[in-house]
Amino acid sequence: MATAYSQNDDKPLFPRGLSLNARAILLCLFSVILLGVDQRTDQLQPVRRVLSTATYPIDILAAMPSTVWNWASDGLSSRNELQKENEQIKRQLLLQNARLQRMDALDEENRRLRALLKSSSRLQSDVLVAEIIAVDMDPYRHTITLNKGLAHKIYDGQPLLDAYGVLGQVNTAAAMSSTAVLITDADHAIPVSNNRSGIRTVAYGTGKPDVMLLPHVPNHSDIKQGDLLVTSGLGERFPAGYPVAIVTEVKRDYGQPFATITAKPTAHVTESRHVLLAWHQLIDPAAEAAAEAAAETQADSAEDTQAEGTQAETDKPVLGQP
Amino acid sequence: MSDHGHHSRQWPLWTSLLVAVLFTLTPAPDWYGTLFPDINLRPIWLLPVCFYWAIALPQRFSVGSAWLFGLLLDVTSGGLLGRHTIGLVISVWIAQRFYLQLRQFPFGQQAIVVGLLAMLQQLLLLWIDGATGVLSKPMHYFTPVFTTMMLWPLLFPLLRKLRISLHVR
Repeated sequence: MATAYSQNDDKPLFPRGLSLNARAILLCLFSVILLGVDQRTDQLQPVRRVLSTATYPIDILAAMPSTVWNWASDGLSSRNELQKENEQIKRQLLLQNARLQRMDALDEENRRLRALLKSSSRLQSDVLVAEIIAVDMDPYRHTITLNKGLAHKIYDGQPLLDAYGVLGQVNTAAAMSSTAVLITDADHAIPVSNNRSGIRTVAYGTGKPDVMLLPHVPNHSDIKQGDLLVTSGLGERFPAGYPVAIVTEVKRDYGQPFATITAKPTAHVTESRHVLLAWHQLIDPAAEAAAEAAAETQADSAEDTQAEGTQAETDKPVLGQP
Repeated sequence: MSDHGHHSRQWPLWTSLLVAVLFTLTPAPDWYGTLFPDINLRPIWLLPVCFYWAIALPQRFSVGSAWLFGLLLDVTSGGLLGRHTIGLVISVWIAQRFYLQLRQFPFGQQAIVVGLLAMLQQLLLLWIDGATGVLSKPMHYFTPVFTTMMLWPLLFPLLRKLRISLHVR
């Protein structure tokens, strides 16, 4: 067995430089420092961005088996099935369009009312569809990799939605891809409010794809099974009013100050292959002033076509003008 | 890497490490989740491959390269930077200290050493994740150690064949 190994074993292993022990110890120390800095600060974010950009081909390669599988199963699904699906989608589209027509009118009315009340109007969100190209292997860390990045104006902290509700937020945006953490990750929390009673709280991920916890709700609060929790917009990370989860169980133990409440995310956390990235970023004052000036000079008709123009226009239209 | 004369063919070494990273990252197929709903059986790939090259070609593959591949795994898996590197560096360090003895071990004993190193790495991961607040079931960290040990009798001959037939030096 030993003869099969290469012949240059008798060479001095490390003729120059540091000894093996010294290098190992230094690397371990460096790793510990790296861990500490990465955990405590955001300073490694640019480094991570560069590295994620450089390793994008690896993400693509790692996603290859599932990509091929999906492609094959799509290709093999029968004509009959496709027709059925097509039919269903058409019906859905019709329904959604009908709803949207009413929405447009309501939206306009809402804007007028808010203008009358001289309150700042709600930020209008623009969305982009992205594809999930990788999913974290660890069962307790729910992070995904998306095929959109800085090149598509994705930013750190950007909210992530699917057709049914809030899915998560972007962690690190690299050039052509980005990693996102899901709301069900054990390390994630999202400010929510009860759509029925308006009670505000925070929903925590548990690491299970269908369970979220609401640990800070007092026992006497008005919350019950089946209540819809929507984003409250507090924390300024997620736009307000998107569905997050439905309360599945409320246990009130009156010996304890808080009720034990679990909820199930409305987003299809494990099934989504495509996700929506929403734009909901607070514009910094300088850029806002510039955009406002630009918006004032332009005709009103331009405001609905351009996403950025719309943001600047609707962010603080009343407060900006005397 | 390339300053070792005419006979140094190294791409299979780096490719095997890259493949180990890819295997780690590839999402588990859907049937896995339905078959084993709450048990993590996915073996650890990068550590045994690093271990192999550290005992087979200690002059080629050392702690520095192990550290770089650990960092690659950290970046691509989206964890904290440095999460995997310490375990890998320690494993390769130990492998290099005792590579002459480790080469003579039968599969079973090598598998035990790999298992111990994998256990150390998982313990470090559990520690790091615990300290940084990413809660997890400890069970999910330690079940892969056993699958990794079972993998070794397959992985070792495969990498050995790769090294000998492709004249990796």
